[in-house]
Amino acid sequence: MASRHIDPQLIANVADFLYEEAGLLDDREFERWLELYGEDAIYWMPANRLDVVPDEQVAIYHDNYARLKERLARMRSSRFWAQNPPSRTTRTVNNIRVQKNGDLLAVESRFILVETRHGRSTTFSGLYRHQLREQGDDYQICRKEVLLIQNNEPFYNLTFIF
Amino acid sequence: MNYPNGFPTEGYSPGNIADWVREDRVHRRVFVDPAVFQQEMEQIFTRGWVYVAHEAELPNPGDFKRARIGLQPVIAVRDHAGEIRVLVNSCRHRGVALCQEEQGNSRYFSCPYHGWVYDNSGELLDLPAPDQQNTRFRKQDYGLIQPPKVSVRAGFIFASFNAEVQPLDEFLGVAGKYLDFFVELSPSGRLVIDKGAHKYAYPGNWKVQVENSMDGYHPAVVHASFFSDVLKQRIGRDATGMVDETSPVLSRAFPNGHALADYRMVDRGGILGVKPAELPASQVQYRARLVERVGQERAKEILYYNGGNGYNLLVFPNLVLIGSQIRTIQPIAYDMTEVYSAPTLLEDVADEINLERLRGHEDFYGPASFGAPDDIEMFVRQWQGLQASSNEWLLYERGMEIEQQDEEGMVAQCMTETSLRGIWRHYRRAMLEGV
Repeated sequence: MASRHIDPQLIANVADFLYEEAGLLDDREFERWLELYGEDAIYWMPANRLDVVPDEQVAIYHDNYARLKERLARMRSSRFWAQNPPSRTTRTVNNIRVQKNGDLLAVESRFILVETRHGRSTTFSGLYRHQLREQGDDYQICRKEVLLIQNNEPFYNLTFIF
Repeated sequence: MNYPNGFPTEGYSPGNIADWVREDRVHRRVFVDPAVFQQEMEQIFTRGWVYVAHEAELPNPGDFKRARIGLQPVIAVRDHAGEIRVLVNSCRHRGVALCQEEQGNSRYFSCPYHGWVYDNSGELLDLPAPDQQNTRFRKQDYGLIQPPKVSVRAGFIFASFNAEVQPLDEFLGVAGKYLDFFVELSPSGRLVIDKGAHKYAYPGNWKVQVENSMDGYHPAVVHASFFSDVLKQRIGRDATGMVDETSPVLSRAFPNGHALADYRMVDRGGILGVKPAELPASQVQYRARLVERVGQERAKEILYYNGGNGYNLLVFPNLVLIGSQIRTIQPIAYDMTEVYSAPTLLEDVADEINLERLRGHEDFYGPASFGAPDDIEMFVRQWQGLQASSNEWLLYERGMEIEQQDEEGMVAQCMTETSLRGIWRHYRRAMLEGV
């Protein structure tokens, strides 16, 4: 996935978009976060393995748009015990690479995320793969894959959004 | 939350269990005392039967899967001759764990420390510089240790380190029938287990996940946000009638600590409001094949047993079947537990049927699903609260005065604690046997 021949301005724009998404999640602005997604979007994080395609392995997240909305409804519920109190998260996104495929951009980045909840801090890290659709001056996410290096370890609750 | 000095084992003796596990209540020390955990590892996980793996995970000679029997690391393997074996994953020389892969296929297990090599049947084949061993050393005496009893029911492989343990089918009793139904849902009679597993961990005792798997009193409260924020919008109506005091769902206790949350009678059309639409072609074809193999009557029974909401089955001490999943509750320490939840597929059915099984599993189970995380949260909070030494007794009295005996065991409405009392009755007996 070489970015060398990509317009540096495009990479800067994509980076800015990824930072915006990261910030909305860390700031718990979930409704604004979902506005970044198309209604055909898929949000996927497989379990156990990194070298898999969807349905080859059980998924930890396999959400279409309707299910993402359900996830948000739970986030806003006072009876979502596993997020009451909520996780505090902060993440950095780096090593961004972009490939242009017609109207779509295939973007890879690496993230480090720290979650604190119930007196415990956990570091998560891995690869984000975004598929972005150019929409005027902005982008829309039509696919997000999260390949978490810890995906074969036993987790405590994973009830925030990566 | 470790107690390096052994606290709170003060005044402990194995016979305490007789007083600490009563018909209507259990003392908190049964959960929080490290000495009780030690006693469990011996009395329950060494002397009794423990589930290790399913044959569907070992289809070919050389296939293996790592597991644990209590705290002992083992390898379930189909050896080169096709025989199912359970090998202790510990080199006979210095105890190094031989196998690091979770699953795979191998003819040999060799030790990376000093190079001892074992066949996948457990036999010691070779070691470097064997002439330097003492003259009385014989390779045939140093094969990998194997639990003296290994038995299989419906493909579920169980093992016991107790040569005198009762036969598996006798131990399973009524529960064996429900293991059979789980597998027979496949038109070929075989499952496919190759999608990996969800894994989660919590700081707390293993028995709380065992109880929770059978507890019919919690869903309307713990899963309130699933019922009201998710399911209600999906189906356009409130489905808490499936889990409240008006529900037809039953709590069942079988002999030997096995238990059932019995959802078989739930009419999905009625309670869930799902209209019995015309069956899709894949379902028609699936049902025809099932009938072809087992006949009309048995097929009806199989579909009734677990074709709908089915049942949650506990096989004492730590195997649970829910929906399409095989759940293993793995004690790590008295205050640490891991849970592995593997979805199963049916052999020889349309992809869409298996995909529905997979999505259905991911919907409610797994660490980021809409169900399990709220349960796990309760385990964490229960562990916090159980540190209150002033609050000594946990109550298990619901339904004691209304439960009935039927041909399979004790039974009462789902919001009682009938199944939990059955688990504890057997636990008490197992913990005190020979003590």
